[in-house]
Amino acid sequence: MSNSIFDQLGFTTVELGEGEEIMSVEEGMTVVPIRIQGNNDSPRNLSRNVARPERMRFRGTREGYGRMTFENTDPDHDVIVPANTMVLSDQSAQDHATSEVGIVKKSSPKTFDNCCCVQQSQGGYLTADHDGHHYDVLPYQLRKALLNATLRRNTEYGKLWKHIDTFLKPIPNISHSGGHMEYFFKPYAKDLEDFAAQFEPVENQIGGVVLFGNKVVGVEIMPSVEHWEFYWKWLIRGCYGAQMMQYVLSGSIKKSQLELPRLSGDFNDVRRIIANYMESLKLQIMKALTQHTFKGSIGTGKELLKPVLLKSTKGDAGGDMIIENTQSPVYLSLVL
Amino acid sequence: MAKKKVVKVKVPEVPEVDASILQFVPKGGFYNPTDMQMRKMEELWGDFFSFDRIIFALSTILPGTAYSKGRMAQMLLSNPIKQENALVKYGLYDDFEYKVMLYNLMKETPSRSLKNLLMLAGIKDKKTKEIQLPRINNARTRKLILEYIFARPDASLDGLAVKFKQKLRKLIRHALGKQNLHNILKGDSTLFKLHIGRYKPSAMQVMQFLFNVDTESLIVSEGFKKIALYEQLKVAAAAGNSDDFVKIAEEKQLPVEVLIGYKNQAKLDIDLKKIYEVGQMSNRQKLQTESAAKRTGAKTQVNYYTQDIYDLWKVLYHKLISQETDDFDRVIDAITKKSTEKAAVNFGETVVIFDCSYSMRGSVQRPMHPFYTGLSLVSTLDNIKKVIYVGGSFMNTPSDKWPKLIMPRGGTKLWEALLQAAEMHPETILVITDGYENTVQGSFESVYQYLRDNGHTFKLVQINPVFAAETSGARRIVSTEPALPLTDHKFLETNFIFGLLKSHSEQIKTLLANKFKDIVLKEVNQQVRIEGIKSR
Repeated sequence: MSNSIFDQLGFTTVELGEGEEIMSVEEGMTVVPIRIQGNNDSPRNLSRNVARPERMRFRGTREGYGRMTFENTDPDHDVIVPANTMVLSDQSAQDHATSEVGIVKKSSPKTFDNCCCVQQSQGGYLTADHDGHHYDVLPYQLRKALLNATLRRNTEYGKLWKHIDTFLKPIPNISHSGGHMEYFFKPYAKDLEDFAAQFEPVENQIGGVVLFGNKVVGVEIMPSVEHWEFYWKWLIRGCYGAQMMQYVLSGSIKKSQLELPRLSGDFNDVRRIIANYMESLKLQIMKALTQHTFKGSIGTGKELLKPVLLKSTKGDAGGDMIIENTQSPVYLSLVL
Repeated sequence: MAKKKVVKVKVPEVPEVDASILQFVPKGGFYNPTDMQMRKMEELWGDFFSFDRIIFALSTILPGTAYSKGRMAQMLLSNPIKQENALVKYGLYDDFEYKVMLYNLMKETPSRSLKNLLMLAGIKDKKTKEIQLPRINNARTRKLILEYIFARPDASLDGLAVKFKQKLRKLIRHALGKQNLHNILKGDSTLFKLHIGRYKPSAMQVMQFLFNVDTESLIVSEGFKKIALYEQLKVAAAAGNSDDFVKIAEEKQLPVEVLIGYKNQAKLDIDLKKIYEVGQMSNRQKLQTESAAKRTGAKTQVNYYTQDIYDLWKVLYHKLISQETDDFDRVIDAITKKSTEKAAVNFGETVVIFDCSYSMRGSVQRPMHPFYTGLSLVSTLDNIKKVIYVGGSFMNTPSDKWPKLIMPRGGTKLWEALLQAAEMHPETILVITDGYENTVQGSFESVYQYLRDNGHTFKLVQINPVFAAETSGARRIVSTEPALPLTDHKFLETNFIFGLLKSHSEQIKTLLANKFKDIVLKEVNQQVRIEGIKSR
């Protein structure tokens, strides 16, 4: 994939899945799996120095509004909190989301003080490890808003309310206004769950390229196959699925189901027609991945894992990356 | 008092229901879709009830989940029965609904039957105290509860009383009302005879036991040995006498949960290993507590050959995932043997496409349920030419008999499997899938259409082991072909009968009425004759 985002950012051991692994649904969203190269016996990760996803525990918002605490229970490795992780809860407490990707050092807690409240008129602090917490990643549109460095670093916890209101307004069935993510996620929980179920991970999948219609809107890569199996639903349901559904509900996008060509001939012809069609889709997507150029700077600290905020040289695309040893990327979350 | 739910009667038209109404279990998936599924299901039950109360009641004798049957019985009991001339046409009498409900209770495990009866005592949300199910207390309800509990042999009542003491108390109190209960316990023999003695004249001692009346001087007859031991155990526990406690337990009469309960309550220093070895357990309970018992070092022997094949698959995968090697081969042998007991439904020569993608792992509340249901079906279906597993990855096992087992994982290229299956020219292609393609949507349907256009005449049967609320039933993989919901491999017959409901409702009613007369009536009457009325 010369000149693609992967080459440009140094992801040398990943590749797009086979054309036949492309998944698309009638609403018009497509996911192309990104796989780690090799077979089942090869390492299934980009790094051995990132803790397993279940080592990350949410410890609540008791430090104050706009402050989310996460704990790393791994004694050996740092853990990653995916960019824009959102916690919606059945507790009488204010739902929150992080503004950027997080790294929590081994065997320790860390409080992020630039988080966003996503439930404007609800008071109360979220508690740790509550069964009624549901995790997602913020919808695409809100993540794009948080690419603005000033907004991202702002510690004012209500900073996302007007953006949430903008997200909710075009949806005809939601009559309330304000910065309440639950107005959307609660009534559409089951729909989002079913939507996401259509994009299950394939063998050796480590990430995905996401398209709305013909446009590439996201590139996600996790540190390992295990991380993708853990986080794929947060991303597909919360970030991209929610956005797709918002578009469909508000009528701002036409359903654009991919149409297979007419099948004819014998069975081998049929196989060939489908395979060719899907390979041609893959080629289009690979071409689209060469359209962006990104810039970002790495901090100078001694930490093994360092976050990088990436910005496109043109347009408003960007996202979060984590680099190990200042050279090997281990995590990528881009919204384009 | 809670307002009773009364179903409004609409103009009868065959409703859009399928067999999922008899297969519901209130266990959803991530977030909280249980509520959503429940609302949808209540709507379907209501529509079906309004369509035809007779078919509604009779359908519950078909294989289905106890929960569905319990909720449907609750609907029947909460709506007064009317004189129905139509019954004569089918050779039924006014009490047929009652007999259907009693039969369904008899067919379930006592634990499940009591849960269903407890629905009639009303259910409130534990957090909000909001009424989820209203109390129902009318003559039929009272009779059903008391007849189910007391019309049984002494030994059976003895076991029921010690194992489900609290549940029985609640049910009897609900059925009799506080005043009647008080009077019966004070010795009102007329009332006792009217409500309980008609089924079991010797049940007064059971009532004393259940409601802790004069238990110190309680003398129980030979038939109620467990009750006597229970009382002795209680005394030993209260006195902190571990030796006596163990001696009583060693009689191997009392349920393991009773022993554990009193041991913990009295903080007795008795090894749990001992309790597991002497406590009484049902075969299924032994299977379910196998790992816990083994952790204590107890030597318990589970008879795998008497278990349901679904439970056996579950145990096998549990052993595989937790790397338990004990009895692995014995479970395989039991599955092999159970697989020879074939289902009554036969599709003719069949190729099975088995979706082993990630979503077949099911919900958090019922992990792996769709997958185990599929495995159980594949094991018991006759005339299978080949099974094509799609997706999944193989795990090594500790057994030479089956060195690898498939685990749901990855996506599904179901369209490719459909081509492979069609190449074998079977009579039927059976697809076990939740309906999510995980590829370019519509690929399966395009290939199916191509095959039809090119003269392939196989019958396509889609079995969906996941109830999908948004589609009022099972999610389809081909828009023109219905998917059969199947949450238990034993429910295939139900699917076929419901499949014919729309086109042959009258014939289905007759078929169910005949089934009622041939099976239900005989079994219920025999039960009552042997165990209840005989002693009046």
